[in-house]
Amino acid sequence: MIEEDILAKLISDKSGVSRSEAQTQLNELGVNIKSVVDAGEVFEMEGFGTFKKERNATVFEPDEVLQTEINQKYAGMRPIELIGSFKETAAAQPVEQVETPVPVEVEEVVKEPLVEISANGTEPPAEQAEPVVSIEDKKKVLQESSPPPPVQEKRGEKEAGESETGRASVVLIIAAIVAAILLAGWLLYSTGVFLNGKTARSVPVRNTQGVVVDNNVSNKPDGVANEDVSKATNAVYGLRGAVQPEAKDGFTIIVHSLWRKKHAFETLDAIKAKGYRALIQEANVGDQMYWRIGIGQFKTIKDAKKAIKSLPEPYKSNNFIKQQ
Amino acid sequence: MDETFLKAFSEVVREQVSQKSEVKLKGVGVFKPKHRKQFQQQYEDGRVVMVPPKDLITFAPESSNGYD
Repeated sequence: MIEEDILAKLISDKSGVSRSEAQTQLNELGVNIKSVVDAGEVFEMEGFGTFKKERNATVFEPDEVLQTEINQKYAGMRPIELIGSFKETAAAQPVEQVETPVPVEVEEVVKEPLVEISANGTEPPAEQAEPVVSIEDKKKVLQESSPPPPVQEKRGEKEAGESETGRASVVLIIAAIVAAILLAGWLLYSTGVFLNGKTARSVPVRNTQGVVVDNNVSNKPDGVANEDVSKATNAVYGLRGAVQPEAKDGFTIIVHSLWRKKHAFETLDAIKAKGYRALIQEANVGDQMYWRIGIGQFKTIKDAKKAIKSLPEPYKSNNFIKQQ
Repeated sequence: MDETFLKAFSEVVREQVSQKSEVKLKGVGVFKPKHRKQFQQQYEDGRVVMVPPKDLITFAPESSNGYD
């Protein structure tokens, strides 16, 4: 609380009047106000306000200028009309509502003599999140007598002619188009147009010995088909099929070295989906943990090198052979 | 009373209350800051408005019953 000495000091600092003088004048002011008011008269301070007695109690009416200054933050704000149903979405213009999302202090609420909605208990912040639309100012109620406020943009709430049902059918059409594109894409994928000659089967056909029988005979630029079959007959080792535990003493072709585990496993699945035998390894290089994805299992380095020739790019040019 | 003083007094009170401090004038009362949060209001014609928040200056007299 600012009073006495501190108040005198502040006044002295501001006016250049000495502190003692300010103190004297403060006392004098208090006495003056009291005597005037007690006599039933009004004590007016220009630009500040008036003191008077109302039913035996001293009241202070702040001057308009003072009120506006105090309410600087919100001065010029006008009540905003809320719409009951929120059909119009994008037209919302939360005009100059600075504070709304956060109900700050817990001071008393000064009640005005108007009907209020039960919203008194509920915090209105949610209101601003929802579409709030203002209308042209036909409002006469709640006109503060403050000086002409800064231009407050009020837009009509009508969307440019778009009715509800019209919009719904547009959305439907778009959804149908998207669905058609996705369907077409899936069909193409399954007929192998996008792939490098291999079918999009995630589980390659095999016989009991784990030999991969590749049925797809579409054109293969690297002449892979034959090599596939020859690799496949080498049951334990190979480029395709499932990872064989017996082959773990061999070598693999590392085609990826990744940092993120999740990404690594996703890539692993992608490679398996292409029909390759793929495995994943952890490796520590310096401080960094890498997840390495290897293709195929081979008895010798020589076999691995041979297999590399049959790999598509980018694997063909970007790999190294590692012991499993 | 001295105009310079009165003007300075006004300004000091206004500044302090704006900064959410109370100012007491001995023998008279206390100036206090008040904040009114935004609230909804309904008019008779059914319209609902959101009234913006407001900062106010209020006054509490020294002795409210007037019997000193």
